Order: sequence, then C-alpha cells, then structure tokens
Amino acid sequence: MKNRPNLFTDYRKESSIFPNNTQKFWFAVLILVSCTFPFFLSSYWKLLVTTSLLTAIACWGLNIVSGLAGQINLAHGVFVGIGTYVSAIIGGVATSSVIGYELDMIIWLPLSGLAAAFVGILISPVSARLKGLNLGLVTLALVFIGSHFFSNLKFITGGAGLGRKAASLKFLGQDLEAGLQIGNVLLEKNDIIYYFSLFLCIVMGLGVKNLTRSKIGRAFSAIRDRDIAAEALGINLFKFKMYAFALASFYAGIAGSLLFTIAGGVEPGTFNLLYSIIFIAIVIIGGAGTVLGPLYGAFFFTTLPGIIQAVLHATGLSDTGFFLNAGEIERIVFGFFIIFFLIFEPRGLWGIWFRLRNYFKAWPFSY
Amino acid sequence: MITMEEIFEEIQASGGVTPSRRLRDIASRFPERIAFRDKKFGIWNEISYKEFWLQVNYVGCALNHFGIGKGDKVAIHSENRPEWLISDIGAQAIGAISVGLYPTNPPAEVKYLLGHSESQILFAEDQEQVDKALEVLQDLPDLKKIIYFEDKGLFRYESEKLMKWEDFLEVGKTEFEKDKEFVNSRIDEIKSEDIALMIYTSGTTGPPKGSMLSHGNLEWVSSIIPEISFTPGIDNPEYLSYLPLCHVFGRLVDEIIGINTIGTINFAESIDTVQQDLAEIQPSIFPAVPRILERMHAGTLVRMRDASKLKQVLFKTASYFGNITAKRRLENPNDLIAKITNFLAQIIAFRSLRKKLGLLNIDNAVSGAAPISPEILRFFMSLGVPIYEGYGMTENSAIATGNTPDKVKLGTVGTPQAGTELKLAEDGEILVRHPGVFKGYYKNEEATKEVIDEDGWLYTGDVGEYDGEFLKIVDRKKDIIITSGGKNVSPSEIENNIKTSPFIKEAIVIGDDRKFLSALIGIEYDIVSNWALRKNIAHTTYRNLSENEEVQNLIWDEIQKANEYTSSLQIRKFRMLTKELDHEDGDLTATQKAKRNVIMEKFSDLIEDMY
Repeated sequence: MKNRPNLFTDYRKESSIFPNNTQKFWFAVLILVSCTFPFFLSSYWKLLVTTSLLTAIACWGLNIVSGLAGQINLAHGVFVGIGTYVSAIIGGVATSSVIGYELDMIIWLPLSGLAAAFVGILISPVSARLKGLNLGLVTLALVFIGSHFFSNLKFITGGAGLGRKAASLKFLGQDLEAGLQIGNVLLEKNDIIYYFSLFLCIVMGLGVKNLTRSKIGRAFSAIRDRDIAAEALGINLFKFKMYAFALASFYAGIAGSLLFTIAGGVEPGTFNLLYSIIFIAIVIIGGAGTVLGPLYGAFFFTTLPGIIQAVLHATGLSDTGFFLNAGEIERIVFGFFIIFFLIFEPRGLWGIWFRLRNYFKAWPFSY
Repeated sequence: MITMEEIFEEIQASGGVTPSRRLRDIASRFPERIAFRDKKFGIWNEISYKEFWLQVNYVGCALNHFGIGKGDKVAIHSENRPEWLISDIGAQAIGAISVGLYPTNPPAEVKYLLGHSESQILFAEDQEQVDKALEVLQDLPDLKKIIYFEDKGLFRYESEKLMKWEDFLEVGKTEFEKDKEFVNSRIDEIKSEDIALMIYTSGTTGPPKGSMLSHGNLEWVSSIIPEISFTPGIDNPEYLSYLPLCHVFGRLVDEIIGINTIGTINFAESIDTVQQDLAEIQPSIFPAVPRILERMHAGTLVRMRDASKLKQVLFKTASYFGNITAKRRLENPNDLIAKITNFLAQIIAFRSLRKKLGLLNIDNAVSGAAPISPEILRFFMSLGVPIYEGYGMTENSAIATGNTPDKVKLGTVGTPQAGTELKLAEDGEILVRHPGVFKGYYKNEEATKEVIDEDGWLYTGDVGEYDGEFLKIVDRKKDIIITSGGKNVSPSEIENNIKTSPFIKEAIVIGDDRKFLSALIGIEYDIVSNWALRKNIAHTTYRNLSENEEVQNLIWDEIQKANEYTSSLQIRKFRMLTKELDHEDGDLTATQKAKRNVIMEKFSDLIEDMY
C-alpha cells in the first residue's frame, strides 16, 4: 500500500520476497548493471565474476544443508564434481580415452543437477541416522570415496593428472563455442557463460530465498535448532533431511556443470578435501543460514586473489621479491578471515551488512 | 473514486446526516470501499462498507427480534473493534439508544451504568466483561441478553441470557431475509430530536452522569465537518481507532468524522500496541490525548539517549532546525525559512523519526480531552507534525474551539469552531452555545438545569480567558486553588509543565488554603527504572524506586525545570506517591484522569507531612 509499507492485509504480501517497491527497484538496477559487465570488465575480472556467480550457486547448496538444515556436510565438493562429470559425459566431446555424447546444454544442465541430487538422496538415509561429528565423519569418507572414483573411472574423468575437456556449449542447437554474433555485438564464449551464470544465479538465489519462507524452509530451521523438538512438532526428519541433501546436491551439480566450462578442462584431483572445505569457509565468511551471505562469501573468496594482486602491484611488492608470493598471501589472508569471522562476526559478511543496514534502519535511534 | 473536496461539497449541500443514514448512502454508492481493518495474528483483515451495512442490518433486525424498540437502551462493553461500531450503528438505526462502557469499568460500575441506563441488551467483548455482568446480573432486571464477541473461555457458561455474536447475527440474518427493508424503514423514521446515544461522563466527582446526544446533535456535527479544526483534507483518509469509543472524542472521530469522510478505520490491537499499529497504519488523522503524546515524547527522548554519539549530535542538529521551524510557523504558517529548516531537519533525522512514530502521513493531529503542556505540542510541531489543540466536552458533542493551521496560538485551545457561540460568564466560566449542545443528563433534571440555561447556553465548568479570538483554559472551575495568601493558581498548568518531564507520569498540585504549593508525584516506572539501572541503583518495586534518594533528587531537578516555565507560584515541596494510580482502585477515572479528591484523601498523611 502506498506510503504504508508495513501494512499487510494478507500473509502472502507479508512474506513476499520483495515486500516493497524500493527493494524491487534496487534488485532490477542490480540486474541491469550486472548485464553490462561483459562490456567493460577486463577478461580477467570477467572470469572472476563468472566464477563467483557459479561458486555462489554451489555455496547456496551447502548453505541449504548446513546453514538452514544444520547438517554437517564435508563432501560438498564431491557433488560439484558429480555435476561436472555428468555434464562432461553428456555434453563433452568423445576422445580415444573418454566418452562424450556432445548433446545440447538444455539436456546436460538439468541432468547434471539431477544426477548430483540423486547421489545426495542415496546418502541421505545416513544423515537421518547420524548427526554432528558422526555425520561429519561419514561425509569425510565420502570425499575419499569420491576421489577414488574420480581418479579411477578413467573413461569418464580421463584419470588423475590428465583430466578431460569439460562440456561444450551448445544451446538449442546453436554452437556457442565460437561465440555469438548479435547484430554488431560479438559475444565471446566467456560472455555467454557469464550470462548463463548470471541467469542461473538469479533464479537459484530466488529459489533459496523462496525456500526460506516456505514450509520446507521452516522445517529445515526447526531441524537445525533442535531435531528432537522438530520431530515432536510433527516434522518427518527422514523426509526433510533427504530434501535438504537432495536440494544441496542439486545446487552443487548445477554449479559444477558450468564451473569448468570457463577453463575448458577439469582434472579429477581438483575435487579433494580442500575443495570441499573451501565451500564451508565461504559459507562461514559470508554468513551461514542467510540468503545473501553465500553470495557475498563467494565474491569475497573468488575476487580476493585479484584484489591481493592489485594491491601487491600497486605497492610494488610483487616485483621486489617479497618473501611470500601472491598465492601464499592469499591463503594467509583467507585463513585470517575465517578466524576473524568465527570470533567477531559469526553471521559473516552478511552480519556486517545486517548491522550496517540496521544502523540506518533504526535512524535516528540505535535500536 | 471521490475526493475529499467532493465529499465536503456533498456534506455542505446535504447539511449533515446521522451516521446510520450516511452509512446506508456509502454502502450503496461505494460498496467496495474498506470500512474497517482489524488486526488479527499479524494481518489486517478488511471489512468493506457493504459488509458493514449488511451487518448493521442484521444487528438491527436481531435487536428488534429480541424486543428492542425505539428509545430502548443497548449497552456495549468492549475494547474498540469492528463489532463495537456495527452494534452501535445497528442500535441507532432502529431508533434504540446505545451506551458505551469502558473496558476497565469494574463490576460495581458496570452495575451502576447498566442499571441506571436500564439497558436491555449488553454487547460484551469477552469472558472478562461477561464475568463482570454475570456478577451483578441479579441487580439488573432489565437486562435480557448478553451478546459476547469472543467465545474463548465461555463454552461452559450456562446462563440462558448469554449468546454468541455469530449466533446473534444469524438470528438477524433470518429476520433480515423475512423483511429486507426493515432497518431501512426504521432509519427513515428517525427524527432529529430522537436520542441517538448516551455517553456517561467519567465524573471526577460523584457517580457518572449519562449525557444524551440526539441524532440532531450528530447531524449538526456532521454538517460542520468541512470546517472544524480536526478534519482531514486528503483523499481516502486512514484512521487508527484507539481512543475508547465510549468516550466522546473517540466516537466523534471514528464514527462521525470517519464514516462521513468515507475513511478506513483501523482498529489497534490493544492500547499497548498503539505505537506499533501507528507505524503500520501511518494514519491521516491522529486524535490524541495528552497522555499518549507525553509518552511518545518521553519515549523518543529516552531512546535518543541510548543512541550512538553521531546520531545524538544529528538529532540535536535536527531539533535545532525543528525549533526554528516551530517558532516561525507559529507566527506565519507559510514561512519560507521554516520550510527550509523543516526540510533540513527532515533529512537529518525527523523523517525517519516520524515514520517510526507513525506520524509520517499525518494530515492533522489533534490533542484533546485534557490539557496538554505547550512544550509537548512544540516538540511535535518541531518534528513537522501539524498538531493542534482543541477543546470540547461530552455535553457539547466535543465541539467548542480548536487551533487550525492558519490560526494557532500555543497555550490556547484556539478559536471557536464553525457555528459555535462562545462567551465568558462573570466568574470567568466558559459558556458555549450551538446545535450540538446535548439534550440533558439521563434521569437527572437537576444536573441538566445546572449546565444548560433557558437560552441554551452550556455552562462548561471550565474557567477561561477569552480575548475575542483565542480561548485559553485556566482550569476546571472546582479545581482552582486559592492559597492562604489569596493567590489564584491553576493547578493543571503547573501539573502539565511538570509532566513534560519523561520521568514523571502523574503530578497533583496541592495548595488550596495553604501557605505554599506542593505536589504529589508519580514516576514513569519504566523510564525511571531504566535510568536507575544505568546509575547502578538497585531497586525492586514501584514504591522502593520512588522512595530512593537519588530518584527523589532527579525528580526535584525536573520540578525545578518546570518551575522556570511556570508563570504563577512555584512548587516548594513534593512527595512521591507510594503506588501507581489505577482506575480499579478508584484513583483515576476511566479516562485516566486523576480523581483529585480521592487522592487528597488517600494520601492525606503525605500531604500533611509537607506542611
């Protein structure tokens, strides 16, 4: 209602994703600005932003199972890997050593998500039985099982140290590998991946937001806060934990399917324990259990190397043979931030945003 | 859609109609307009004018079914809610007379009010009110039925006089199906001299008296809506109904102005949530009593004290600009510099502050029902809220004088409203005459004669100063203090100055026939408690906190501040009230006014201690 943003005459309006026009407006502005990025960002930054968007999708997945439903999952990277390889089989090019069917993106994109979700469902009975540290151990085992399969299924992954090409971009019969000419504008392959990623990021981000306000999302929160109480409230733990794992894996699979098309190839050793732990770190830095947190975290993590390099370059340290190289500094800074956020702002980057927003929201008071 | 200007033109052309007729008119022309919003479980449920009118028909038919006819009394004992207005207008529509009871009325008063008014049907809100009525049922031979709005806790009640609101409406619906024109024809029969409603004045002395207001009174009030000081000038006005409907001020704004301007009346969840409801509704017109405004003022200052340094500095800057705005606007409402300072103050802090207070869309805020300190009004004016003090009472349909945007003078209650004649008696008592003056007290000829003379002048009982333009109220005639030195003092002016302090809730000035003035002080518990916590002052109860030495020092400082503003005598001594004043204990009237004589007696030892 005009001039009365907090007057709700039904629950639908009260729980809408964008409760007022201001939010709708800024969301639209954000999307429009994002659409113009490929035209002025350097190819390096374009790459970083695209990776951030896809990483954000994967992190939302982990956020669903860990942040919302409260289940430890150390094997998120494996599900990303499953997505990657399913897309590579269906959409990739066959060589003498690996299989590939060169099918359309419209087929491999959803299938890679669904395949990962399927594996997620397979392991969900374990999560219904176990919780806390025990569940963590099982998922840890999953990382090693996954690594083993990825290294040894050579006809799929190309084997350790070698790897294979990722899925090729073909959308509705249109081959996009060489880019796309629209009028006078030539969109390169990476631009196209960027737009796909942006679109998926928006859709899946809204999906998470929608989840948090739905019955399923509320059931997740109940399970996270106290599983026994949740069960007493009539929430079927088995069913909802399965939903959580399936949804989380679906997000991971979708992210995985596109994540390696940028670089073009993927090596099975990528999906090791560290890879999974990075997702956890991103969710913690961004803000577990929040919708925007993983997005912030993903951007922070992915663009950090770029920022550090820019800083090193600007201060001239990169040329003078500083005793740490960029990669080492990156890891130190990242590690520092994990500790910093756990101690000072457990709600992560989103928590900082939240405080900042509340500072202005409460104006002129402080609460 | 109809604009407010068109509505005003219509009213001027038609000359004012009684609420039931106006409702019938709106329901046929704008059936889908939202009449009520009622907050339940976080959601404002809407009721259209069509539905409102239909339910009024059901109530009218059902009342008739239970033998209520013209001139019979129907009582309503409830917090504000849609059913209140529906049953009220339903009763009025068939010529019955409605009587409102305060939700805080204890059983003894319920017995008196229902018995004295000879009410035959009682609309009770819930178990609490039903219990009160059942407790005194044997003394109320006239009472035929008790209709309750909420059935929670009432399943096992067996009195055959009880009936659920829904069942009552069902009866009405069946009757309505038999004769759809019944209520319509009854409305046509209403004559201006018929009594529409009775409002029992709270009575700071003696038992309440039932003031009878006729349909003619209501019609006259409706007719001057375009000209009175508290009329919204904007289209589709939103109202927040929180002032008790059994009080003339609440009834005037919601039932008469609200319906006549085809407004939407939003019912606050409860008196405790008014602040939050205000922020959600952001009403167009805000009728307020000093108590509410004092609380808002105190709440703002206290919360500002908790704000960060930067915010405090910005708030002070905004206040500086705001004070300039208020000062200049009092001299000239369209002052250019005031516009600039107001703009700056709004940007810095006041726009968001007003939004939090729920005063963002206010077209007109009115303070009435009791005297208010000019400092409080100045505060709201500095925020950019158009707020004006008005003056009226039950006996003159709440219409006498009011400040208006073009004619405003702080410390006065403004100029006479349209169609109002005003003069002072020789002893300074304010006399009012207009077609809205009531028909008399029910079953009390003697009291009626005391307040209305043969020429139709109403003796208000208030002493004032009138310069031909602005009226200034000195005090209630019977409250004026004459010290032993022979000086006349108006206690309410001093009391209001003292109550400007956020720490003080009640102040009762004493000094009649004494050598100097003193005061009994009641603290604002929440705020003083908060203050004490900051100072590490341990405390337990209200009394314990009141009697703390540091709190006493704090209060004395606040009184000193008030003394500086006071033109007459200064307060020399004070004592703390040892308990919070309360309606049920008989210290306050239902409208939260202190009963001076009761308090003087109750705390006589404290008073004697000071002299």
